[in-house]
Amino acid sequence: MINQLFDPAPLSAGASNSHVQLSSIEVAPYWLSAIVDSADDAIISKTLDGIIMSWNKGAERTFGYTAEEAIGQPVTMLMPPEHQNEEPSILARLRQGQKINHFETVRTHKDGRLLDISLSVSPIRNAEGTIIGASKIARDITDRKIAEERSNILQTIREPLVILDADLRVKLANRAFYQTFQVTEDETENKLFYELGNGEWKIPALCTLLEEIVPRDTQFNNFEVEHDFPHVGRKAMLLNARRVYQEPGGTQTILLSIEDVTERKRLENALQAHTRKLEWSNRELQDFAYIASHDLQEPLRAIQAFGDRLMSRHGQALGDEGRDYLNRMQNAAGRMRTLIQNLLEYSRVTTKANPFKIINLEQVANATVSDLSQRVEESGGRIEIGALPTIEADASQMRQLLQNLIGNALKFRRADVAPVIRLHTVEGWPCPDANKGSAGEEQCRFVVEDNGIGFDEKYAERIFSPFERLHSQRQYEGTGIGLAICRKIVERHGGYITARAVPGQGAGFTITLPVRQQQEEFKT
Amino acid sequence: MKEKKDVKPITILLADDSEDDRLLTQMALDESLVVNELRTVEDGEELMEYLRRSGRYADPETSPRPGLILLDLNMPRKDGREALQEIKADPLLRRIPIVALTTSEDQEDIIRSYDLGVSSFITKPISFNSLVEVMKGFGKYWIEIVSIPVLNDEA
Repeated sequence: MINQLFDPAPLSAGASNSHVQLSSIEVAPYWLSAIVDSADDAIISKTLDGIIMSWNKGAERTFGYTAEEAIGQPVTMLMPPEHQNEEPSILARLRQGQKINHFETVRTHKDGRLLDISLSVSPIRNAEGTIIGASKIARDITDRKIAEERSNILQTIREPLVILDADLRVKLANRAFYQTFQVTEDETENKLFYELGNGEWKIPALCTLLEEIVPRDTQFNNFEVEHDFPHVGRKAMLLNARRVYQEPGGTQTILLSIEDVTERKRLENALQAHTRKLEWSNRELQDFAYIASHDLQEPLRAIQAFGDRLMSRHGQALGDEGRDYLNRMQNAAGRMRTLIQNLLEYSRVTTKANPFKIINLEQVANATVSDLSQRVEESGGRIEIGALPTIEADASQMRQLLQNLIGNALKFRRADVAPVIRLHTVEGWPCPDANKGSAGEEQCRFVVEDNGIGFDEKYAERIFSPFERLHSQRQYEGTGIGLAICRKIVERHGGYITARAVPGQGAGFTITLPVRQQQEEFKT
Repeated sequence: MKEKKDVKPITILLADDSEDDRLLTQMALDESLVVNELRTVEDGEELMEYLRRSGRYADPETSPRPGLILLDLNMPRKDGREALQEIKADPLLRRIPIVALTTSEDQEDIIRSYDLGVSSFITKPISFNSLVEVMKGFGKYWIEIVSIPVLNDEA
């Protein structure tokens, strides 16, 4: 089928004076024909108009068309639309007698597949030297391209990777592997994996995985192993392996990825240590609360009890001054007792916490108000409860929160003005209902405001610290623990509390709380 | 009220590490006219030694077996809870009624003490006068009303 291409004339003209040569001249076209046909590459000839004139077996294999289908057709039928414009420039160069070597482009297979092709095109001249057409040698480099791409992908992956053959010989490793384990390509490629770096990879657990698990299960995922490497030290690694075949029925290879999790492990351990420390200090705080409640109260009780004895049995003998001193001692002991109890109450916000439940704050507010009804009545004031949200919270702590805030509002009222205390959702904020499956991030904000004595706003932050007071014990009793407990409760719920006030006109406490609790409740 | 004329008044054994508290308890018992003999030990170890008649408590004359134990929960070396557990596990001692007398008002302590077998749980009151009231009630109930098993010293 290629005899059209080879004009025997130039050959016979070049060698006409020996018998031996003559006989080779006679057989030459057949030799050439056989060579062309047995070539793996596609060898095609075409006219200067781009019409296919010859088509070898390699061309059939590469492009899928038979010689009958291809001959007489324009070569552009092999070109995908976006490469059609290549033909005119190829033809133009040919007409000028130029050769085109190893031009990498894309062609279409009969079945529509795109092929990566390396193309060499040379002009064909007739006996007079006139260019009458072109020969094209096309090589399918799709596999090579894919291999290159695979290798590129492999190289860009930041995780160390090695490809092993069935004998566990390294076929390829990526840059990340060389960097992480500080080895060179020469030391690695085509070496048995176990022999790398004086057998540093002969890790028993890994051997089992590669020799037993991968052949049986084709893969393993996230196997964690720690190993001391002579060069790079101790590494924690997360191993993933997969058995892959190059092509159907092809040779088996193992893709092994070795994620270096040393740093992550270190952070995990650091986090764990930190958590332990936190737990420990939490425990210490609890112990402290226990000590405060028992060991500190015991001597205090003795002071008070012996004081009682002293007063009742020897009070007469002490005289007025002596009894006054004794009374002061007793009062001081009583205050200390209150402080210890307050401190204990403060610590109990976390140590004696209840699990979160869905509660309606309006109901909690109403219950709190009825607890305080006597004090409200005595004050001659009123409490107005507006719309309040339904949230996930510790019910008894919410009650304590509102009780402390309303209690403060009643306590710090103006002498000549009946107290009016309002609880309501802050304007512009939603009044959500945690029962109605609201989004996780939702928050609510409500306020407890009064028309009392207020305070200087420069103390707005300070008043939330334990035992912080703005008034003397004589003016208003109390130890200053109430707002500290409020803040601790709100913070335990993942929210925050702020205060604003105008001296002589009133104060407002704004509480922002998540509608639903995300945090894992730590029980004690 | 039962007649107890023929029965020797019981000895009360108080285990409390605080000397002040031991004195206050003794004073409150005196004040409430509870005349029973009061013996004291300072921690759970000593309490067990006393009950098991070891060491300096070997002589039944000077260390009579108690008819009732007043037990503080928080003590050094061996605390009241541990001692309580040991006493209730000992077939010779388990019948002795034990009254927890402690500063703790912790629900956990109360629940645990009853679980371990205390006969009652008293939180030490703050003022001496209240302590006297408590001891009066204690004496009335445990000495006059309640029948306590008579324990043979040889048992």
